[in-house]
Amino acid sequence: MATIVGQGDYKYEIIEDWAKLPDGWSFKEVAAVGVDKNDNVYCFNRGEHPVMVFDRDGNFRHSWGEGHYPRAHGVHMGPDDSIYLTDDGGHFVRKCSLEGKVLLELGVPGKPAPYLSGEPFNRCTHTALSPKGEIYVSDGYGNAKVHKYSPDGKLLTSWGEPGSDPGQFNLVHNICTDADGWVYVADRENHRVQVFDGNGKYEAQWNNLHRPCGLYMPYAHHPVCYIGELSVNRLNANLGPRVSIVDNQGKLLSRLGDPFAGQASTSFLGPHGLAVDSRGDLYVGEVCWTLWPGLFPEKPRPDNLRAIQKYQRVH
Amino acid sequence: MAIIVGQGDYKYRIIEDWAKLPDGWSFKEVGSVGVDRQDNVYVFNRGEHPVMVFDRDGNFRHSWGEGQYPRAHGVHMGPDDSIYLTDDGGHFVRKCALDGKVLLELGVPGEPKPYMSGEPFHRCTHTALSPRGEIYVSDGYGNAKVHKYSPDGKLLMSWGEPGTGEGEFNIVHNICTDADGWVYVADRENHRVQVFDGNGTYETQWNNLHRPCGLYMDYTRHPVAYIGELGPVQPVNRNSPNLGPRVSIVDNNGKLLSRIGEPHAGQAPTAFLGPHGLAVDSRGDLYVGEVSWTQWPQFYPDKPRPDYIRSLQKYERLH
Repeated sequence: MATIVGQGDYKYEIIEDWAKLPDGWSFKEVAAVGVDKNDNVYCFNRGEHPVMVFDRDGNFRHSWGEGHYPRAHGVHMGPDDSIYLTDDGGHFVRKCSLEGKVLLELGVPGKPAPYLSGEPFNRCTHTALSPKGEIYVSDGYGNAKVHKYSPDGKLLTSWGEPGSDPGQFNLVHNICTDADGWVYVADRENHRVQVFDGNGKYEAQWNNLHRPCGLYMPYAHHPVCYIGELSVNRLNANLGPRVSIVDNQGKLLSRLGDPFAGQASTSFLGPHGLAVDSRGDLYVGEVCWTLWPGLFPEKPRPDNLRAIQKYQRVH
Repeated sequence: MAIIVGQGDYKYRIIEDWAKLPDGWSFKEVGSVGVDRQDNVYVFNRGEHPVMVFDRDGNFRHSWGEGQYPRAHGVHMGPDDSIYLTDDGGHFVRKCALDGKVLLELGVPGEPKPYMSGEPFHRCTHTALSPRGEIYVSDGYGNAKVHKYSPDGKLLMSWGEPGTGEGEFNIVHNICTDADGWVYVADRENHRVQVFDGNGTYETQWNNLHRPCGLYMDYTRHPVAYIGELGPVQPVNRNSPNLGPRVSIVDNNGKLLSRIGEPHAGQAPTAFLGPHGLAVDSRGDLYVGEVSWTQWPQFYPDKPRPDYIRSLQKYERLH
């Protein structure tokens, strides 16, 4: 029987066990996910095969990046058949072709800038592109900055500092842009999304969120936003983990997830990276291995935690 | 040399070692503080003498409540020379005379209602009064409710659910009212103060805060709010500056007017460990009680707690 989740215009049928992995392979956990123009799905994961590619039916196509991505964190798909991968453990961003050829690299792999120095990068988290192709990098765990680069990788400007005021960050975790050039930043531990103009001028913030970490927006005018939210424990209801879909003013349109963290198909453990394909189907990658011990400290981690699930939009 | 802190109209001179405790006595840590009409200061603490009273110069007057308050949490001063004490460890609220005589008790000491049942109380945190003397209780750690009682202690209504939406709470930690009847709730782990009308209809929220826990407002129209904010204690952001612990003074729309504290937690007079309970006297002087013993291991998991750490300080307003 089909399991339908979500509300209003954003209802989904859960497609269980969507990804058909080669025998013996594992995502371990999926930090982020991207969809190309042909609806192929790129799972940036923390297993032995950092990028695994599937077709929309979950058939495995190929993998790449083995040995080159210490800790998968963020994915953004470029309009030119490219994929931007952000690795927080490696302190770098790479623009790659869809086959994994490195086209551009920002940061020095394995060499973080000093903690909270403001210099790129210390555990950078995600990327987004301006209408002109400039590259925004959220940075991240060990800085409180958004950096803006020219399309060919020259640092243009940076903004942000640690704190809770407008324009300040408390763990800059994900970043998105829209076709008008607005920049949306998941300010995770401040429990908000901040909105800036293309040069970092504070415009607004969305509240009523809980540890927003994963952010996905279709590249359009006034797009809706898909937000993965984390919980802190499994005791308190209605604080995530969950996925919230909000309009361009931050108003809640639909919400996926159960009151508490869990392994049911309708629940989440750590929805950390999201993407939507051409049909409106949603993919949610989860950092389930990382979050398990915090959620269930007395239970050993099961071997096969769900790391990705597909939600087919009901039209 | 005088140490001046704060900005704009809310600048203060720090009065170090203000409280003159009897020999060998200790607050341990201070859950909250209140000031009566004579500017005497009531320090509701977690040591052996739960309520210690001082004059405005810090001279010890007397103590009361010994053995009767398992875990001091909130203080509100009534307009009728009364003091409302909220004990989260004991799950009760007591209205007392200023000499400690119990006038009214809400909740059953030692008997919490089931976790998240919504029934009063499970680790209730603070009280405030409506213009008609009705009693609001924030509740708290183990519920996500505000309860409203008649002045004689009859439960009238409750509101709130666990969550992050408007009217939902994620640790209802402190509560204040103003002379127009608005109700202000420190929704600590949602990083905000929510504002309600007297019957719990959501009105607005104040953001740009970090774990607001202590709330004090003068009982006037459109009062400013004094907000104690706790610092970051997660491994992922424990070392990040500008998140508290600190005290923020905001106007009645939540706009920041002045802020006291250092970028990081600390023991300097200008720094805080856990500013948890605040009160202001007739001259505008500010008292900040801190849950320093509780906070210490969260900031410094590898450092043993010193024998003495500050848990109360006075800030004399500059006019």
